[in-house]
Amino acid sequence: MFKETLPANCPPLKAFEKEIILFRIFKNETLSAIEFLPYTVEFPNIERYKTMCDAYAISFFSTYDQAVACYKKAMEKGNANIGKYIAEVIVKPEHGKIKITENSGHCNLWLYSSAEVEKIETVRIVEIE
Amino acid sequence: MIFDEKYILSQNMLNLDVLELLDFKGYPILNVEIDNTGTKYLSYLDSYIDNTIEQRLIIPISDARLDFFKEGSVSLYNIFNSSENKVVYVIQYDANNNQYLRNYLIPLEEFVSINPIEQDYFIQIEVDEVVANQQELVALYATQKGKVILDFYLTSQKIKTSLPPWVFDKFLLQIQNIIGDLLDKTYKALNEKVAYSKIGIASFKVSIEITPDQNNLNLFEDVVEYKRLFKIIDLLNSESKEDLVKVIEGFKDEKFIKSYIQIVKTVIANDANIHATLANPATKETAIADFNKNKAQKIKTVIDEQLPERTDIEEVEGVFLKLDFKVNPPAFIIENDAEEIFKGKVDTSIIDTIKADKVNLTTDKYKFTIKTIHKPETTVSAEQIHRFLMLYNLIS
Repeated sequence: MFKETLPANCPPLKAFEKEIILFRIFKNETLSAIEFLPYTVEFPNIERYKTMCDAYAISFFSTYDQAVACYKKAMEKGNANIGKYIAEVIVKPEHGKIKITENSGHCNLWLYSSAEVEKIETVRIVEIE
Repeated sequence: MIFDEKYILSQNMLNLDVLELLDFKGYPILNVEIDNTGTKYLSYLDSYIDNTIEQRLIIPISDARLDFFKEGSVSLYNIFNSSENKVVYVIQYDANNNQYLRNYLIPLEEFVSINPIEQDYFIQIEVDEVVANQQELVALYATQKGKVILDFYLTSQKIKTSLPPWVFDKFLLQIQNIIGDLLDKTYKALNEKVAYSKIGIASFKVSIEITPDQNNLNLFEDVVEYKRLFKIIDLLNSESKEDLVKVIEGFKDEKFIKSYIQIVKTVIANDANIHATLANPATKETAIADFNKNKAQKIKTVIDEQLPERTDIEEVEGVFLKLDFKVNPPAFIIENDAEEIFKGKVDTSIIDTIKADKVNLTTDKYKFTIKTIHKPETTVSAEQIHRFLMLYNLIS
C-alpha cells in the first residue's frame, strides 16, 4: 500500500488523508520525483534510522514561513543537502497519509505506492532569498 | 562547533541505538537514543562539518527528566546545562553512513560556557503522539530485552503524585494472577519468569517483562508467551458478551476471571483509564488495548447477567484420598501427581461400580476422567465449580 516498506505501527494512527496545501524545501527549481525521497532512501547506507517511522516520510510545512525557518536552521547546521527552493504543492488523499505536528507546523507524508509524485500539483516554486 | 582535541577519547564510550525521534524535519535533529544497558540519552544535532561529518551532542537522561522535557517545561539548552552525570558527549559520525568516527567527553563546567544550543529550543510532544510513540518504544524495548513486554499506563483522577494501594492489590496483583493463569505458572515459577521495570508514579506506568522459555526461542517468531498473553489485550478490549465469551473459550481454567472482575470493579470505582501494550520481541509486533469506566460498566452488566456455564472433561492421574458413600450422590477427594486436590461428586452412572470395586485409598494409582462444570463469577457472586467423577481406570 505504501511506497516504502514501513516499520510496525507506521504511519501512526493519527495520520490521515486530506487535500491540503503544503510547503516543501526542494533541491531544484523544477518538480521531479527526486524531490520526494524520504531520508531512508536518500541515505540508504544509514542503518540507525531504519526502524524509525518518520524517516520514511516526506517532510512538509504548513506555511511558507515555517519552511523558510527550517531552511535557515538547516543552513546554520551546515546541512548542504537541504535544498534552496520552496515548493507550494497540493497534497491529495490519493498521495498518502499525513501527520501534522501542530506546534511546529511540520508535516510528514507517507506516500502510497500508487502516488505519482511527479504529477503533484504545484502552485509555485521559489528560490529562498 | 569545533571542540578542543584534548577532550577526544581513544574509544567509543557509547554504542547507541535510536529509540525515538523528537525532532525530525527531513533530517535527524533531536533523538532519544539508548545504550545496551537501557540508559537513555538525548542526542542533538550540533552541525554537519564540511557536509561529511554529523556531529551530535549527547547526554544521558532519566525517564522523569525526559518526560519533563517532552512536556515543554524546560529548554534543551537548560537540560544540557544540567547534565545528570556532569559531562556532555560529542560524537562524530560519517554523514553518509552514520558509522562512528570519534567522540569527545566535555566536562559540564566547560560545556556550560560554550553551549551552542539555541536557548529558545523547546519540544512539546502532543499527548496522543506520546501514546502512539509509546507503542513503537515498547516494541523496540521488547526486541532489545529479548522478552515479551506487557506495558501498562493507568491514569485516574485519584492518582496525583503518589500511588494509592489499590493500584497494586486491585490492579497490578490481578494482572499478575492473570499472567500466572495464562502461562500456567505457579507463583514460584512466575518469580523466575516475570519481572517488573520502568515503574512510574505520577500516573501509574509499569512494564512487565516475560522471559520466553528456551525451547520457544527456536521458534522465536512464534513466541508462545506473546500468543497466550494476547488474551489480556482481548479481555481489555472486550465490550460485549460475545467478545468476552470468545476470549474465555479455550481456557482450562476460569480463575483469571476473578482477577479480571476485580480490575473491572477497580476501574469503575476509581474512574481509571488503562492503556496496555503487548510487544513481541521477535517481530516487534504490538497489540494495544484501552479500557475505561465506560467499557468496564458494559462488561459489568455482561458479567452480572451471567456468562454461560462451561463444561470441561479432563483426565487426571492420581489416587483416591476419600470416598464418602454417606452422602447422596457419593463424594470423592482425589489428589493428582502435582499434589493438587480435586473434590466432587461421583456420577450416578458409576455409583454401583465404585461401590462394588475394592478401591485402595491413597495407594492405588488411577487415571480419572472428571467432568467440571464452571459457573462463572459475577460481580456479586463467587465462581462455582462442580466436579463429577465419570470414569476411573487402575494404572498401578
